[in-house]
Amino acid sequence: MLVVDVENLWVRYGQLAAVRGISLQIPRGEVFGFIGPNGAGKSSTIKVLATLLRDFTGKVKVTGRDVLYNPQAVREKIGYVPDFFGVYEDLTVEEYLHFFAAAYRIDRSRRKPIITDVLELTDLSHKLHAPVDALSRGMKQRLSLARVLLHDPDLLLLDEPASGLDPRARIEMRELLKALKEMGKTILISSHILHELSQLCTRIGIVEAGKMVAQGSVTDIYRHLGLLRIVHVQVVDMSAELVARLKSVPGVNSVEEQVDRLAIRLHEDQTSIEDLHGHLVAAGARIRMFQPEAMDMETAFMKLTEGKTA
Amino acid sequence: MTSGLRNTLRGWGLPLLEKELIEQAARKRTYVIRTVYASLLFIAAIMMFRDLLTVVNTQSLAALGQGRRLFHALATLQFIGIYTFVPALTCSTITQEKERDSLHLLILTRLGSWTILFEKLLSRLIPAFGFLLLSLPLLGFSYTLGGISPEYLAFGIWMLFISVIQMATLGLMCSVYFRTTASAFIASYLLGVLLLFGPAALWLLLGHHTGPPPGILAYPFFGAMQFFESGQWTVAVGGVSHPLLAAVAGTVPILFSIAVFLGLSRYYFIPRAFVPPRNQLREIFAALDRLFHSWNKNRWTRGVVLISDTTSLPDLEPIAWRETAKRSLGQFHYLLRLLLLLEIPIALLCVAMMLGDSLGRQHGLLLLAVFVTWGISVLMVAVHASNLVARERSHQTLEVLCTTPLTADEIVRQKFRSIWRLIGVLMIPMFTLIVFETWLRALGMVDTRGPNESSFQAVALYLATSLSTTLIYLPMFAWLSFLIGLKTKSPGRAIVGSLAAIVGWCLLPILSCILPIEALSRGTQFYQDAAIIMITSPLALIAINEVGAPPNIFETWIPLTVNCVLYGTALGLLRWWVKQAAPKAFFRDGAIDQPDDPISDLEPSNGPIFPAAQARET
Repeated sequence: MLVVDVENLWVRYGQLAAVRGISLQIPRGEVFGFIGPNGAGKSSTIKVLATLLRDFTGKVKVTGRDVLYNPQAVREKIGYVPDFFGVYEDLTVEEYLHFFAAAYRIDRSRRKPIITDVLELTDLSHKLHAPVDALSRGMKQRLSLARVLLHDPDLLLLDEPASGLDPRARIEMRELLKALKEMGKTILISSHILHELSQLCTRIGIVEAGKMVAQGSVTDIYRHLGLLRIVHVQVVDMSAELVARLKSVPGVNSVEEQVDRLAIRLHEDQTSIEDLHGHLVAAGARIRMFQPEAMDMETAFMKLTEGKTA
Repeated sequence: MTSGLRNTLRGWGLPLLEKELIEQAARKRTYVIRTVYASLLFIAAIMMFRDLLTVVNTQSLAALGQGRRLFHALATLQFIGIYTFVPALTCSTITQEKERDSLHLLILTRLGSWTILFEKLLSRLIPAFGFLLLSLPLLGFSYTLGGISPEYLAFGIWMLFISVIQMATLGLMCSVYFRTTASAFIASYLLGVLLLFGPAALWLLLGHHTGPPPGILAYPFFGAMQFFESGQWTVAVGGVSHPLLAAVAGTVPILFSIAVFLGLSRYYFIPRAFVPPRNQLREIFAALDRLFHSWNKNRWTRGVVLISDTTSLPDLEPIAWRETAKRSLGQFHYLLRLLLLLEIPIALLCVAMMLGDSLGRQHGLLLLAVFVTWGISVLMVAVHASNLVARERSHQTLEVLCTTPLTADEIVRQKFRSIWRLIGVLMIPMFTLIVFETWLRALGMVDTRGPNESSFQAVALYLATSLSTTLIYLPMFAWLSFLIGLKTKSPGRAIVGSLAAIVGWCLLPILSCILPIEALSRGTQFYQDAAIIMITSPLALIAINEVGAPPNIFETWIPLTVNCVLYGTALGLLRWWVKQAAPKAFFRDGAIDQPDDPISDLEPSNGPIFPAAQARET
């Protein structure tokens, strides 16, 4: 079932077209990463989905409901975390969550167990009576996530949720998002921090200047871009013969001899990493280290946004 | 801004002034305000001098010597404009940099403090002088009619010129000292009133109330008064009388005030550049809390608590709960303190008047209490109502709130809950004053009866008008301020906008039309016709109800009818306008109750991974 269905979305601010014909579909349970530089149109697209931007053209539906004509029904189905904190700082954590539980018209008898659950999930149970003002940035962002989970929405719209957080808070946020993914939530998350999304998203869309320049799974995008996987190998018995043999393996683009290792550039669609390991073992290499480098999303992004597809 | 002027400014090394003028030139409102001001000025001038213009067309000789009259009227209009608008124009000069967190960047440049202050001041003075220049054709016309000497014309222009600088430096000083534009706005008007009328009030307090105080002593800083009373003073040099010299010497206090304002601006510029934002309302309440707690701890009351605010969690109306349980002006215990603060002095005043032996003669004091209570009430209602939505916007909580399923109508209704509480509390001291004055009138101590009214009718009319005024005006100003807050981005702008709208609504009909007409056309039919404009000012209606209508113009029942019909309609219209504007402000416009589409069971399309690239290829 499609939770998000956007077709040919255009958003204009006066003369400026911030979003230019974006189309995307997100089925239930998918984590869709929205990648793009600042001003690419990510936040505008998310605001349209969050019913906060009414001046647009195109077809935009959330769980089958048109956001333009049926916004109240859409609001019941979404949870929106903006790219700023947006929390009432004169309330305590408990009051803040009760406030939004009441705003979402959750029955009073059900509020307490729900709030206990979301606080446990976001690891904020010990802050129940703390003033929101006294929370750290990371905690405030987790509180925002707790807020959007109160009414158990079908779709979470997260606009730069890790923006401005320190490394620890980022990791905590990522773990929390993974937990939500495992719970089967459909998530649309935007970020310009690329490796953050590559570890989390089932599909990504790369936007630039209001246009979707690429859309698909991370692997698909790498394959289409022809990006090479770099594998770092340390062997005890390094020899010219071993290097020559590796170069002859199909899919190996190059083998670079470095001070203490070999850097092998591999076309994964021809030979998988596991098969490369098999070739090394078959060649009699005594392997001390075998380390495939993480996929380089930044390279992909730079290539795509420069207009290069290969 | 022309490229020639830009190059000149660059040549002089005035980058800040250049930036400010470019910004002003890019704003539509610069031209709108200029056009509106010019239109009002010329329309008012034509209205005032239609008899003179008619004479010029028919008997040109009869108009000769009338220039002084025209010149005085124009100067009146310009002085009104200066004292009304220049503080508003300049009070944001530095505070806007503080609010944008850009003042420290300016201070870190090679521009010195004096340079920054002068360039900023000039950026506001240039448009203000532009407003003065608008009247140049009219001044030229008045000069051609005769009746004024070139020296007197120059003196008038000089007084207008230094009055602009005086009000601008006052605004600049407040802008330097205060953290927000709203605080600077309020302070610059309060200080302005003190500066212009303070010496006269002091003169009266010191007991010199037997005759009118001489202008130069009672109004040393009031340029308009100096100008209009300049003929009464003279200086003899070598046996020759020089009235103009005396007049120019009289402007020394104004020049001195300008120097003081500039000096204070420079003195506080750096120390007050980085003051953290403060919730002054909360601080006032905290101080009041301490005061009342100390009063409450005595052997009789022993810290008794009359009303304790419940700290329950929100139930069905979360916004109303937050506004009444978490905001200073919504909580009962704060409102009770506010009520005591207003009610105790009023009650003491009433008791003192009852015990005194000159009950009727103290009506002036009661009048003062009425106007002060009105001023405080309107100020509190306007500030609170304008802040309700603007504050959510500036704290970036509005969007989050708007993604909840609450309707626009629910948000407005719940937001207004605290306003109703505040209005309810503010009405109590108002009603105390009304009841007391009604009693005075019933005893015959105060009599403002119309020619055809009995005493009972007059008292009943006063009571009905006062009650209708109180019941209509506060909600009306609340809806107006809420509407302005709904459409503005920051709380500062919302407060300034609301107060400016209310002050404009109250004063402009009186100042722009009535005063010049009063001065020039007293007793004529035109005066009587035009004075009807006064009913469009809520302030004028309160004054008419308290002190009686001007002779031969209003019947006493007119204020009551106007209150009920005109202002009742205005209240309804403003409420309707808010309800119309709220859906757009809360992203709820254009929604049509359509049946839900069947939920799509489509699988995601296996479309191209690179749509843009494919489009380029095809």
